[in-house]
Amino acid sequence: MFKVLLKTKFKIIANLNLGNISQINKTVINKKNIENIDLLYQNQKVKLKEIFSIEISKNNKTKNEIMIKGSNEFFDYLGYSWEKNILITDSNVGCFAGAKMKSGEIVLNGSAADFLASEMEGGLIEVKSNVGDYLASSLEGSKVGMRGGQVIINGNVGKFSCFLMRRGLIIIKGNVDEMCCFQMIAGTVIIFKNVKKNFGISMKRGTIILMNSTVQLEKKFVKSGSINFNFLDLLKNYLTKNLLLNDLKKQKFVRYFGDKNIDGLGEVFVKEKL
Amino acid sequence: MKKKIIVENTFAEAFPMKASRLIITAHTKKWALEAANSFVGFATSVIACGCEAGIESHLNQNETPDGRPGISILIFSMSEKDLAKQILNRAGQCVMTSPTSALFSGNFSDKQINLGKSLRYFGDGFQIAKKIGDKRYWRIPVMDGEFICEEFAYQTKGIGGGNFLILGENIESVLSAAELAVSKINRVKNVILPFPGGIVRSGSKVGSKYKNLIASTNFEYCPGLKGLVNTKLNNKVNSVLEIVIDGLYEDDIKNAMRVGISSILETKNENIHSISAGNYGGKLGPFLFKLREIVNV
Repeated sequence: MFKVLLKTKFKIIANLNLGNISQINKTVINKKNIENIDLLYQNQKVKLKEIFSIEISKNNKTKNEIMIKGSNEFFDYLGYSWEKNILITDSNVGCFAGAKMKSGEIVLNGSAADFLASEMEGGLIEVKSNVGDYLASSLEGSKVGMRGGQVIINGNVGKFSCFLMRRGLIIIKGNVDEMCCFQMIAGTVIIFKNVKKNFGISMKRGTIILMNSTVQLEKKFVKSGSINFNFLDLLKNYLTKNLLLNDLKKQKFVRYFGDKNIDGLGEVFVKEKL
Repeated sequence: MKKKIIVENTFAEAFPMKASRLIITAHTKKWALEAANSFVGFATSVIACGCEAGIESHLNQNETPDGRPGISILIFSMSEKDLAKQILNRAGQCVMTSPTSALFSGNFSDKQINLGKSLRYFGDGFQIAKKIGDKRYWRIPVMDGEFICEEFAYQTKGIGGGNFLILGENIESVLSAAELAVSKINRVKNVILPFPGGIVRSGSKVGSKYKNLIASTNFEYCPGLKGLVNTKLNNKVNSVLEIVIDGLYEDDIKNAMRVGISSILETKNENIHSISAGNYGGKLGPFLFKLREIVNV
């Protein structure tokens, strides 16, 4: 397969819509096809070759690798409806990264702004640093958020994360801001550090695992107890084998149900204090 | 000088079946085995059990989906419908009921068999679906916690009826030879021995003098009927036992037969007269396992 290196020719100082880069997944990879992809820069239609220099080489992998050098917070819609291949950036990206992603892999070696993985359907996104608001939520006007796939965030996350999330797995290794998992429908979220107010409000179903044993849940969650959950064994084993995440092993959890204000059947596992 | 055990110039005749592999896990190996034994109970022959099932292998913790000790079982049936019915009934009554158990598919194909998809209704609305990786599981609340069950098992092709017969002078020698063969075959993957302890004494033929019976005793191999019927046993043979092998692939059954028969031949037991096989003249089953070719005699 191929490795495509896209290097910015100058510093990007205004919004750059990169949604069309996902056309790479559906075309034969050669310089001609790639350089003529239409992008929007400062609301003007431009060809990809006007923004990026292009280098194509062979790799020894089963998937194509698209590497972007010189990315910053103005890089919007990167990996929109992404499929099959691997997309890597060397720095931060803007809004809507990985939105409606179907499969493949996106690795962001920096932070991502709002609406990361919104309405994502499959694949894997890994973010090395922080993420803005509306992570894995629904896009404006839609009633369902993330529908599948996996997201790993090594930093903190902003407000309204997992809003209307329907399916999939999200691992957040840092803190989350207010309104996390608001109106969550289903899916699994693992949070390693703190949560803020209105956490899990109007949660209908789904699973949240809190690795911070000091978190105090609000009264809308009812304590159920600490029993033998086979599901956690299955999840631990999957995370260890596939995502090399050993943190859940040998941990015990207390289960809470909520949001009781809406008769929700969502479950929150809080790590037991040793 | 020790007598050589004769491998008769005959063949075993086997049939295509529908098969599936399931993995049962539990908190301890003991309870995984209890659930598995319950699942494969009353599953010796499709003649009256609806399926043939057995334990394929014991799995350690890093071979199972949930990192707990497990048992791999194979189940065979004559039709898709029977296989689906037997799997669902046995999963619900034998595995879900067993303490700490969980049930997963052990193979993959495009033909799905409802497992958790149907069993979930036992949860009465409190069941939870979870998609982990590419697979979907159902979490059904039960009194010891929760029963995890994969949404589907998968149907694959299988072969039933690989077999060989051990003919000897007395029951002690024949039984001990059969036990040795079973212990060796149990190490072969992709095969099961569905009968009690892997051994059959009531080998059958197709049909009966009684209209309602589809199978009856294989009188040609009954030592007690020597002199009364046209027997295949000589004067020295007073006991016969059969080992029936079901497997996923032709080569696996051949391999299992080779391992089993060779283990008996190596003993050079003077009381074992010969090794034979059951067939229907080669007219019914498409798979013919020729004994002499298999053991290279």
